[in-house]
Amino acid sequence: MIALVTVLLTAIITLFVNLVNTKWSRPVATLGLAVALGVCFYDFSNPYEDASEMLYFSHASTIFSGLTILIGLILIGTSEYSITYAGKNRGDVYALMLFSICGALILFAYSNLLMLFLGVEILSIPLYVLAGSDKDNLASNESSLKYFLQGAFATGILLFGIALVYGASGSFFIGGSKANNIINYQLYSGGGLTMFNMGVFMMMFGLAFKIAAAPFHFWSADVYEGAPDLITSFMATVVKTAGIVAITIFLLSIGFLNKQWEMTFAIMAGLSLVVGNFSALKQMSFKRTLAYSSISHAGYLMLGITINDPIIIPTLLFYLLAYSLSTLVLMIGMSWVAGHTGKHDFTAFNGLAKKHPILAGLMAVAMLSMAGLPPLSGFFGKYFIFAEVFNQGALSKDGGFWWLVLVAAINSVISIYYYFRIIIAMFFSPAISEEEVPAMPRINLFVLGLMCLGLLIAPLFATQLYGLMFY
Amino acid sequence: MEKNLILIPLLPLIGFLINGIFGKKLPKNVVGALGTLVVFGSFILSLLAFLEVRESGQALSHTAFTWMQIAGLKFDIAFLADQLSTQMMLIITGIGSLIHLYSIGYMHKDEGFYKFFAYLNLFIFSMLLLVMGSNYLLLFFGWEGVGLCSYLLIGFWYQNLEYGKAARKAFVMNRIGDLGLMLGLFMLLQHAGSLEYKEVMASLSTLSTEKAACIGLLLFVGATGKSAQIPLYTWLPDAMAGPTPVSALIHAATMVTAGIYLIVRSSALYSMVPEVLEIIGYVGLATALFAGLIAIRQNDIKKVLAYSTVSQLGFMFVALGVGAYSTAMFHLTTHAFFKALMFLGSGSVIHAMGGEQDIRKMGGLAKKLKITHLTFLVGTLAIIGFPLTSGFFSKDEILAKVYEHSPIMWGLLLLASAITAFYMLRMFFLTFHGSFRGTHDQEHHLHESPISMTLPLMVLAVLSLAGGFLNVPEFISEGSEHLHTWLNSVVTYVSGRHHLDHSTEWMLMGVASALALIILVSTYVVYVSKKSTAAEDDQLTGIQKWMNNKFYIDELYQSVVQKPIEAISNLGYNIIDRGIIDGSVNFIGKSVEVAGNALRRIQNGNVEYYLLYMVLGIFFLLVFKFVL
Repeated sequence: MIALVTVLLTAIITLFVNLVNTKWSRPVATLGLAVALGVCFYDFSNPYEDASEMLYFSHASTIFSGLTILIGLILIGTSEYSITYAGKNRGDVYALMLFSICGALILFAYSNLLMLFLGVEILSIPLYVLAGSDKDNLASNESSLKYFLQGAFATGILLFGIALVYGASGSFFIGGSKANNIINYQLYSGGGLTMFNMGVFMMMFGLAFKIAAAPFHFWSADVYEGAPDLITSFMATVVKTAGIVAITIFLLSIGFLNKQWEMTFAIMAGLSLVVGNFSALKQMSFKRTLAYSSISHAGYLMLGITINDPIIIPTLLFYLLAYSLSTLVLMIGMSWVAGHTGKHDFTAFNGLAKKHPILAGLMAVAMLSMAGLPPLSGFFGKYFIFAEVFNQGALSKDGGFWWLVLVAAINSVISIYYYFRIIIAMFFSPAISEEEVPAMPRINLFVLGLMCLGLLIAPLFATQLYGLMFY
Repeated sequence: MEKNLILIPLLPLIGFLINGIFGKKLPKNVVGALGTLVVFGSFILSLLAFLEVRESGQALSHTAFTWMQIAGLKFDIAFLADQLSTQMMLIITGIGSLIHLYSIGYMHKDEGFYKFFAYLNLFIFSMLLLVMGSNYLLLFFGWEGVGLCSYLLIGFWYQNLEYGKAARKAFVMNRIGDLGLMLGLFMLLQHAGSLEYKEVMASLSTLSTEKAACIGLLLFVGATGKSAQIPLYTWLPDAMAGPTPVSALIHAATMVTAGIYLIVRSSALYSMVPEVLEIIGYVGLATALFAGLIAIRQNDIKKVLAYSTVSQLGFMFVALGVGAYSTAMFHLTTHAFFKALMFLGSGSVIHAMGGEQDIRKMGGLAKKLKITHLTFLVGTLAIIGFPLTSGFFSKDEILAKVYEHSPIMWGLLLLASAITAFYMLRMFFLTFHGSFRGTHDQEHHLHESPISMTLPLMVLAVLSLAGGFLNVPEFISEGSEHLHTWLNSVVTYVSGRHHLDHSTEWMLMGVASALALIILVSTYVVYVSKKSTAAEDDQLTGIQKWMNNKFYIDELYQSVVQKPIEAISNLGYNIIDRGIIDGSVNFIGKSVEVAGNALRRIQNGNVEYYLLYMVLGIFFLLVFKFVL
């Protein structure tokens, strides 16, 4: 809770600092997030629940908050060059990113559908602006507009869903012990089961849009590609994490009584896997490939949620951690290269390993983790999810969603094809670009190195991480 | 010492790692010295272990750590130095250090000097594991390790395609044998639940005879591969493609004796099934005769030695076949001395001749290569069984033991040893006596090798001369069967064998010695007095031609085994692999690509379409859920 307040204050302070001196905005925002990260430790030992049951900061939600703040910290901390496009407005960009993080933190802790809606909006509205923050760039403007149009549409569906759920149950509350919980729709003489289900489905679709799950993923490739690199990284990590957690909280809070959504959700997961991977195969642009890959990663995460049991939450956390770290390494690396060659194509990376072996090596590690090769975290993330779903399936009569595990496994094989393209470009293709890519600043390289180290050693601490969640 | 057993194989491993990783940057004499010293260090430690075993009469054993533990099975990295192991360790590290020393001189011009020493060290490491392991798994590990090193060293001059092929052949032939070994080990594991020698031996009492026979035969198949017996011997002559020190170390003194070691180690098993021993004996006998016949008409100095090795290994298997394990180990030891000596000697000759290996182009080398000549003479006398040399005692003991078993076998084996005497002397005289038949350049170039090469020759010559006193038969001197007594506690003999009386033994010894002397004189007359030389290949007729062409065994294997397998493989490649498997894989790949392209088109950039797709998505998902 205090972390949320800290981030909010940081955002406001950054706005004002920017008016005084643009150069200070990054240090201030970074410092504020660092403080917020520290505060998370305090929050962790002091779970917070407000009296009217709007927000509940449990251990799990604090850990997710910590992860998100960490991602923000890394992104803003290393953004010295990727922010230059914003000129004097960079403080505004940072502030909007921080506001968006506030939305994410709310989504980790909501226990009322109103807060869910508010969280989604606080998360999204700054993003519409951020996507278009490179004002002189047509692609950025286009991306902003497309995002806003489709986002508004999805929000409408979400709101429609919330209204239906309210109509059926007379409540906005989820989880907790209140008698007027949405799950008690049977006690309420409203629209009954069909109305409730319809509401749940609409909400599910609206939230699926946020995590770019098929068939609500169409915005993501265009928006990711057009938005500035910094913002794309932010969307691929923070927004993805927030969306996944929001959808998990909602579905699991009703899941123990109402299992209607499971099959549809599984189909969406399967679609995301297939569509994401297959579309990524033939892309020219590395950035666009990452956009599609993030769709397929949403698929893996959704696969985990299908087991409809809170024990999946630590596994999701682990997966999100692995996914976010490797995405950040790749995005920051890409943004550096693209910033100097002006291109996001695979060819821009040709021969990178010759000139900058460390950067290329770190990006390769991140790529291998994304592709899910042992012993990196990406492999264990997938493995844990597959294992959970498979075990759950083995327990149930109909085998659960074992077929979906199969689809996911096949897809993770297919994904290796496009993940390795960048490695091949970096290590085996001769350089063709005339523009010199200068060496990345030591400090940024160091941060990338730390993240890769994290990818390597995180599996060793998986058990402890699980322990923290249920502490 | 017990705790330090692990150091013995570890030292060569360290040598391998240092030479293998940094060798390219180190000066040659450092590489050579390091490679030699680590093996010599192992030799000293082996000697200490040997003395301790001799002192206490107890085997040393040490479990370093547990390698793996799966489903009730536990495999340890455990070392055992009993009487049998220490004997092998001394041979391996002793002769090994001499050959390392020799290689410093022999290989000094080679570019791959560091690589050579790294491989040699790795070989010594694997070989030590093979003999020091206290279970069959480590034995197998070493077994495969030496096979790998053998492959690497035969193909050391890999730029020559033929050498590469020879290396491959050795590897493939060995793998066939290894399959037998593996199956045997699986059966043992299934029966005993462990591969520790102690536990396996303890469980033998409950093993059925049929199963024991089966295991025995399978292990023997492994032995025929590694120890070059019929039908898997053809790789060894080709293995002469490797540098000569390799032939001396791996293909004469140590690795090829692994098969003997395996069977002696499993003596308790074999003594349960004398029928299997019988088979081993006959295979050994056939090999001894057959390889000897081929050796008569070989003109490559190393090929002669190679076939001689095959034949002598046959002698050892005959000894095993009649249940005389310690006799086989005795001959193994003396053979290691004199055959390593002769290989190194031939290396010295080849070195002097500038790479020439054909004895038809040599002759009269005795004058220029005095030390090599003298030491080679010692080796030759030892192998033909000249009285009081090491080979005399060991071969005589084999003949005596065989006579006990079956006089017919004895007769055939005597014939084989006569053949041995003939081809060895033929080679010796053609090489060192008569007049020089090579080119003028070669004659000018002739020189004795450096001290680092002649010193090992001299040491080995002394051993070849005196090695026989390790085990002087009982009828000559009471209580001098040292080796026999030494090994008594580790081998299990077939029970109920009778012994010859002393007069028969004297008689047998007399016959064998007389035969050796007669052949010595007659070959001297033919090749030195009458100055006959070896005939050219195209002048040979009949059986000689067959012998020269190694009885066309390689060609036979090629048409019976290789050709049909290649035909099947081609069939598989063209139809199954390229047609069905490649076809289906490519089909999947293509369809994925097509699907990818199609999906990419849907993403056309128009928000109107995107919204439409989303609505359609919602529609179909809801229909799927609530209508269908």
